[in-house]
Amino acid sequence: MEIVAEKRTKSIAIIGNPNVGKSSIFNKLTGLNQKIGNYPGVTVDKSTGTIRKGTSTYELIDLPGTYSLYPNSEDEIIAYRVLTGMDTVKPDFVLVILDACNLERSLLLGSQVIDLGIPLAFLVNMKDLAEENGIQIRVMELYKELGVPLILTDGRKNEGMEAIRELIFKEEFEIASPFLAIREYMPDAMFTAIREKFNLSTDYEAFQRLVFSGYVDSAGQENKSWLQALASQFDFQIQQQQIKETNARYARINQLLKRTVKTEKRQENKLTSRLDGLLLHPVLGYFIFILVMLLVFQAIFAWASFPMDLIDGFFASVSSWVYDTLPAGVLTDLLAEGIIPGVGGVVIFIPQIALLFGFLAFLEDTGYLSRVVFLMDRLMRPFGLHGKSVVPLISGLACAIPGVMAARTIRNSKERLITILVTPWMSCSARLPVYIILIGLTVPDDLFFGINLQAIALLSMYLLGAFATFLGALALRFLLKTREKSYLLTDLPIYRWPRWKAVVLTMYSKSKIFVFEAGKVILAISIVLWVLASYGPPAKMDALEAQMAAELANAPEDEYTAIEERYASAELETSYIGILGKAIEPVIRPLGYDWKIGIALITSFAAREVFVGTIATIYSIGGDVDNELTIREKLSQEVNPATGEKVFNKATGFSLMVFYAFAMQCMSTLAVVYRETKSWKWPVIQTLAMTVIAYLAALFTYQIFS
Amino acid sequence: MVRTAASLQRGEQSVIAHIEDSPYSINFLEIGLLPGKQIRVIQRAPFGGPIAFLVDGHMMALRISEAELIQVQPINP
Repeated sequence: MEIVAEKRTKSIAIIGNPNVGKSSIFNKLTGLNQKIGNYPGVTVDKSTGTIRKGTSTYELIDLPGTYSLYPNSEDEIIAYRVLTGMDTVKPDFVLVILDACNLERSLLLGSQVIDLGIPLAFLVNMKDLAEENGIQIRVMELYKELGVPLILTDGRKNEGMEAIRELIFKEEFEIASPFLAIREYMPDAMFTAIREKFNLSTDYEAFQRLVFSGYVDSAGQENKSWLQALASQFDFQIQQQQIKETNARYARINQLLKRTVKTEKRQENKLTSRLDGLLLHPVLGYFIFILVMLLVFQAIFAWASFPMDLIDGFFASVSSWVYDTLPAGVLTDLLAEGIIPGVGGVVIFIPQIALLFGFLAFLEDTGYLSRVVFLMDRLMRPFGLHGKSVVPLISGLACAIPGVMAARTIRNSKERLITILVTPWMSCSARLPVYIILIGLTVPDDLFFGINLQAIALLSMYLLGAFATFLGALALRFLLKTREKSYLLTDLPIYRWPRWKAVVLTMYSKSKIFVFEAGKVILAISIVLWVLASYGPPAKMDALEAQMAAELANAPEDEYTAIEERYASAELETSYIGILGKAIEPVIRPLGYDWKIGIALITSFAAREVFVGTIATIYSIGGDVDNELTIREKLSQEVNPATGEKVFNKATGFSLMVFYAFAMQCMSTLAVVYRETKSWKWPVIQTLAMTVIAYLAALFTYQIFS
Repeated sequence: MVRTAASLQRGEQSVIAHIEDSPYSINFLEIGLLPGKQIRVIQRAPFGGPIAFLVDGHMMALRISEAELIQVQPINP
């Protein structure tokens, strides 16, 4: 009888401390595009890659950087879940990356992985730095003591990569004997009970199953209460035992290192000390930080505008090319008026997002971003935020989606939640086109004390966003309750020269996330919008069509365009979206908006930047595509048929800008907030609160200026 | 009188004697803040902000409230 074994790709998990160069090694091995970081918790999403040689293939899983396998943060919980096979199959092997300069700390994690009983190998990374620091590692002895294969590597250069490859393809991973006699730290009866219940193969797994019970069993309430009951039955204090376990591990590690590592007179990293004297300086440090931020702003606003104009022009010309070349019909209309501008509306933000994240990746890779946490923590604290909230908030200036995701590095759940909830108030790049068009309409292009008034208006909108962010955080600080205490305990990695390839990879991967996360929503919305704007209740639409045909039949040829445009406008009013716009008109009238702006509000509920596209659609559908007037000119000519006043006057324009500054008009952000908070509660509350505040603020603005 | 790491002057070299129990004892341990390690203040952020320490050659930042949990003693008592 022939047995066909199911062939499964074997998997190798890579784990290590933050800043140990783990992602760098992962990239070298897999060649996969992936982010490399120098800031705690950069690799949070589970990223995988494959390594191939001939017919054998292995899957590599890059786990988030952690100091230990204790449930301190999301990252550690993810690492634990993967290593113990809670979600998927257990990895077949583990590569633990150790820091040659700090073997003590990295062996804490390494020894925990040993005790889980998975076949593993150690990579001792940053050997170059260790040599500089006068640290000599006796690899053979360390191997004998630990019983784990050991390779010296330097992830920044290529050293040791061939050896790792060989180790992987020969599967020279070994199961080492337990590093710590964990039986001393928990009653035998408990080990037996837990191992039996969860069918675990090692004692340490049983110990960890209990330690993690409060975190991984939130769904399986039954397991959690079973484990808690067991703990209280034996009067077992989880935290105390964990501390004992850790101290015992360190004691053994230090004994071991005394025999295997020789440290000559320890030398300080001169460059890092000197730079820190400057960059962490109580005065100069902040001055430099402000300069760095100004450079970032310069990049996302000035440098990005050139490629953005090119993209804008490109999509406009593609649209009109499609219109002119393809046979007239519904499909061409959908393409030229719906899909192409929709795609363009997404692509146009790529330069800003890529530049911002290029800068952040650069700063992260050098080690500077961790210093920003140090500098900003005191400023953030009164607002219920953490030093680590700075990066999400800065990211929010380009796009809230990666900003909300970056909040994962914040360990305190209240501070993390506040950061997630207020980040969408930072003025993201999707608001910029809205502001620019409205400022162009309502603020004169004059100088005020030598400064352009329009520039002042734009700056004010950004300041308004930042002001709202901090005020919102302050309010949430008092509204939200927590028992957790906030703390800051963070590594400041040594300064290193950035790896440009890593920076470029980050720019690419962040832009990709944006295009896929935001892009699909924006694209879908622009198609729906086009359909809603092109169709209406058939009876009324048909009547209009017939009326137009009749009028056209009797009119001289040179009046055709005028008649068609008149009817296009009437058709829009009769279309489904026109009906929707009219329906909300009573609600938005106090803010100074008519039903056409109402349509734009409805559509940009999915994504702000759709505002410009919608306005363009509303005023161009059925109109002459070759019309020389730009959107701005069309809008400034728009008058209210009832009063004869301009629609986009100062009061309406300001009120709209304020509305866009405060309202949560971004489906993609909502989806990400849902994913990050794991409930609909927060995204729903966030949307309601932001919309109500936006409404009231816009109302207030309109009443002041009208 | 017991001194804590929060009271160290910039550049003053000392040794961690003991770390008081707190909800984040485990976090001190896992980052490598252990009794017996040399500790020195590199920089203090203004207005009572975090303190940057050099602990056995590794830089780390702590708030004052955390630094107060670290008891220190002179390097050669």
